[in-house]
Order: sequence, then C-alpha cells, then structure tokens
Amino acid sequence: MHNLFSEIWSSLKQNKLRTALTGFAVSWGIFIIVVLLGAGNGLMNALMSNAGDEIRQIIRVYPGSTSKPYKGMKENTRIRFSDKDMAFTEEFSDLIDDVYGTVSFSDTLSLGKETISSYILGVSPEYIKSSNWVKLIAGRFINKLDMDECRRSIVIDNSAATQLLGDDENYTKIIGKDISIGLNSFKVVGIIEADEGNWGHDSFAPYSTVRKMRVEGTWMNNIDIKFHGLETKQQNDDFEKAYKRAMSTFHNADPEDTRTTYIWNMYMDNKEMNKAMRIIRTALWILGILTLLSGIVGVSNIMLITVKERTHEFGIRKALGAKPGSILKLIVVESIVITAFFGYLGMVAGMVADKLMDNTIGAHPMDIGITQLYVFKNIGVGLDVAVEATLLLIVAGTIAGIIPAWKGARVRPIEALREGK
Amino acid sequence: MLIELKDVNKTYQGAQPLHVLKGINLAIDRGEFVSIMGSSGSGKSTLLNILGILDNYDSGEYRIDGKLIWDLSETKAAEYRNKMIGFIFQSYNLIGFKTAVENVELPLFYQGVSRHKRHEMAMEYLDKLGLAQWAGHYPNEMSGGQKQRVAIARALITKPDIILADEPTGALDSKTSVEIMDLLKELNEKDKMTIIVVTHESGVANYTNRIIHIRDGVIGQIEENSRHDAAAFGSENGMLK
Repeated sequence: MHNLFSEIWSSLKQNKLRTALTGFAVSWGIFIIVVLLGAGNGLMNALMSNAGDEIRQIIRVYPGSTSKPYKGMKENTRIRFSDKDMAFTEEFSDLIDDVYGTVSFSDTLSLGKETISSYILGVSPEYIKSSNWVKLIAGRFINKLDMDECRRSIVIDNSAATQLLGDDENYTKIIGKDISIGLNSFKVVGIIEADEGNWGHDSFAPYSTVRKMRVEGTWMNNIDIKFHGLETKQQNDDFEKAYKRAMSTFHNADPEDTRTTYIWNMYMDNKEMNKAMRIIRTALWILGILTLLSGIVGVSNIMLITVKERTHEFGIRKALGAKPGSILKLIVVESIVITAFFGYLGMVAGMVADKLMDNTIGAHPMDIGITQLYVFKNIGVGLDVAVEATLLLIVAGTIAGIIPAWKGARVRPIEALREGK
Repeated sequence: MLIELKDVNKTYQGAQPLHVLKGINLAIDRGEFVSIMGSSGSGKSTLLNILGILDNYDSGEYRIDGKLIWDLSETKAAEYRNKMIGFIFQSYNLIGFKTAVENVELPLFYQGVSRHKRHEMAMEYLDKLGLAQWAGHYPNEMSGGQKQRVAIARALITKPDIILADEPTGALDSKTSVEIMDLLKELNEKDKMTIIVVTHESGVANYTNRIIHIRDGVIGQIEENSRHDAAAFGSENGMLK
C-alpha cells in the first residue's frame, strides 16, 4: 500500500496546479452537497422541532356538534365526551391499544402572596409525547405513578414559575415547592416552556387527580387513541371514517354526520411530513450530485490527459514487468486519492459553513409579529451524511478513473516505447 | 540452448501487409555475447521485440530455456519479461520523476519485493556500476553515460537470463560508447551474462563474440568474432553514423 501511495504522490507532485484545479471542482461539489443538506436539515428541524422522534401512532379526537337534525336531535347540538366515550372507544377496535382522556378547568395558582390564573389540564403521561408544542425544560412531566396514585403533581410553565416566585430568580427553584389551587395543594414536579403566543398559562396535572377533583366536570376536552396496525393512508382514512360513524351513532346523531367529532391523526400527519422531508432530502442530494458531476468529469478528463502524457512511462513499466492490472490500479487509486482528498476538504469546509450558518441564521428566531419562529434550527449534517458522502466520493473517484485506467492498462509496450523516441 | 527460434514469421497487417520476418532460425546459448546487426528496415527491431516478449509472432516457435513463448496473456508476458529479460534502450527509458535508485528498484517493485530489500539491492547494483553517490539524483541531473549505467543496473537487478540491448550506445559519444561496451563485455566475461546487442554500428558489433547479420527479414551471415577484428570504433568502416 505504501508503495502505491508513494508512486501516486510522486506523480501528483508533477502536476501540482492541475491537480489542485481539478480537486477544487470536486471540493466544490461536496461543499455544495453538505451545505444544501445542512440547510435542508435545519429547515426540517425547524418545521418539526421534535424531529428524530419515532412516529407516534396517536389519533386525537375532539367533540364537535351535530350538523343536521336526526331522530329528535336538533341541529347544532353540542357533543360532549365523558367516561362512556372512553369506554366505548376502547371497545371500538382491536387496533386500539389505549385510550387517554384530557379534562381541564381554570383556577388560581398561588404561592405565598403571589397568585396567577391558569388553565389546568388533567392529562395522561403520554400527552407530552403526542403534543410537540409542550416542551419540558426542567424537572419531569406527569408520570405513571402520578396517574395511578392520583398524586397532586403539577407541571407549570416558566413564566408562571417566575411570577409565582415573585422575582427574576432562577425559576427552576420552584420545583419541589407546594402551590395551592383552591383548597388543594399541588407539588411542582416540572417546568415547561411558556407558549409565547398564549396570554394565559397552561399547567398540567395527572388526569386521574383532576378527574377525581372535578366530579361535576365529567366532560372531556378530547380523547387520545393510541393504536397500531394502520399503515397506509387508506387504512387510516377507513379507520377514521368508521370511528366517526360509530361515535355519531353512539351520540344518537346521524351516522353520516361527520361534524360530531373532529379527528387529528398525528400519525398520518407525521407520515406525510416524513414523506415530504424524504422528497426534499432526495432533491437536495440530486442537486448536490449534479454539482459534483462536473467535478467528476473534470477528474476523469485530467486522468485521461495524464494517461496520454504518461503513455511512454507506462510502456517502460510494462517492459520492466508491470502487469496491466497494476497500471489499472495505479490510475484508479490515483483518481480516488484526488477525489477523496479534495472531497474531504470540501466536506470539512461545508461543515464549517453549516456551523457558521447555525450560529447566525440558525440561532436567531424570526419575528413574525404574533410569535417568533425559527426558520432554521440545528443546521448541519449528521455522521450518516458524512459516511454517505465518503462512499459517494470513492464511487465517484472510481468512475472518474476507470476509463482512463482502462486506456492506460491497454497501452502496448512497443508502441508506448516508440512514442518516447 | 537458452534461446531458440525456429522459422519465426511476422507480418504487419495493413493496407499493404509487410512481411518483416521471413522464417528466422536462431540459437543462442547461455553466456553468449552476440550482436544482431542490420540496417533500418531489416527487421532487427521486430526481432528484438519478439525476443523481448514485447510483441508476438505469427508462426514458428520461440523458446527461452525450453519454455515456449506463444499466445501469452499480457499478464503472463509481463511476468516473463520481468523475470527473464533485462532491457537496455538507446534512449535509456528511465522514469523522469524517479531518482536513480528508484528507477533501479522498479523491476523488483513488480516482483513484490519489500521496500527495504529493494532499496538495498538497488544500492548494491548502483555501487557495482560506480554510481552509488548518484543514487538520489534524477535522470535529468546525469550525463548520458551515467543514465545508461543506471539503466544497466536496472536491467541487471532481477538477475535475468538475457540482457537485450537495443542500440545501447546510439545516444552516446564515442568515448562513453566505449565505456558502455566495455562494461557489457565485462558483464559477459565475469558474470557470464547472456547479452544480445541490436545495432547497426559495426563498431558496437565488433565487441561481441558473434555477429548475426539480418537483412530483409532473413538471417544472413553469422560471423564468429572471437578475435574482435571485424571493425573498431573510429576505424574507417566502423562508424556508420
């Protein structure tokens, strides 16, 4: 191996400028790939801040109201969800693994003299996983133990925490403290990021606890259905349609009335989103590869010239006992070395550029009036792209080198030797 | 017999097929120092190419040490050339971007000899030819005679059965030519190397012990020249150039 590389090194040294110019084209191609994919990733990360999570198979169902009269039910009758709906849903299909309800009320939270009003949602531990706008920043979310033991645990947002503590001190200090809600005392277990676009505060407590406290408030905000086995859009649509029909019937409404319930299928949404992202990624790769292509053609061209120039030398080598295979290898490896070396420079430069973009446009959210929005987040490529790009470079180098190498290997020694005279 | 040619024919195909070798019969024994002499177009270069397994022939038989050289793959031919034949060319054919010692190492590189061993052997041969202090120099830093001696070291390093020298003094002045021919003669006498020199100069041919004349693709006269009185350098009929 050492021999081969010293051979290649001495031949590359012969044509420094030419090698550098050719290499630049390759560097540029890989640079573009890394920057495009990095920016693309940043865009996608911003679009879906929970990127990387597995796709959760959850359908969220909200109650609606009837859109037509049916068997004595008037139009616009509000549909309300209760325990019965949860029980009914659980029985609806074998594909349903679990059903969670969400109940809510508004009340005053107080700590010492400080009070704030908050909207309190009784949720299952699964809730945070299916609600990507709820971002835990300290402590923990409601867990199964809270749920099973009807514990008085509460998760509040950071602006509520700051206000309750009454100063600008570190809001995380509130974790572990007891706050009062009406006559009850709740222990703060976690802090979430306050929703900038929301004037009020959202707090989360275990579904079981809230459910028990609010005997009269048996109505639910929504029901979350965790399911399995629905893969295609068709299957999901059919399931949603059948469920809507069953719910309408259950609430004595027209089975064909589709407005009795609203369904949000996160799984399908995510799936569609992932599909869109895959398409974007593929498009970016294609753009990058097309850019790289000019570099590859450049390398191939240079290798052809090199072979032409070195015909006499190859003749000498062959006379001295070089086999066609060794000449072939020499040229292909030389091509791979040029491509890989300059490709790596391009990759590193691309990663530096990604980092710079991440620190500039990726670090500052865009202000759109009502709220702030990240257009790019975590710009950059992962190890997977680095590995893929490396493989791409080796393949590209081989492709660039193979035709020139074939020509070089086929040189007939007598003709090549004659050429030098 | 080390080299045996029986009725070797070679025709270059083309619009006007050219029959260059018309039934060559030749036998050269191990340890001989012979020259093949002929004017340009006589077929001597073609014969040299066939002897050096650089080209193939159309019919007949060519054997080196009993091994039939016929219908070889490129890979096999390269292997035979590497092991059995050492070439010395008129234009030296050293690789320009390699130093003297690297050039001498090259045939061993294709034998897969380790770097260290290769270098050691190459230095030994350069030393033998009085070029040890030139080992690190590039060909363009050396005189013609020095270059040709590097080429000779390169030809010798694999301990080949045959040294094929194609106009070895063609690019050298007469003083250096004498030195090179003396060197070849010494290699033949001391090391018992089999050397075949192809030339059109009678002065060069006179150094050898047997002169094979080739003309129009057939072997003409074969001159025993153990007394080396055919012609000398500088003599009236010696220098053809």
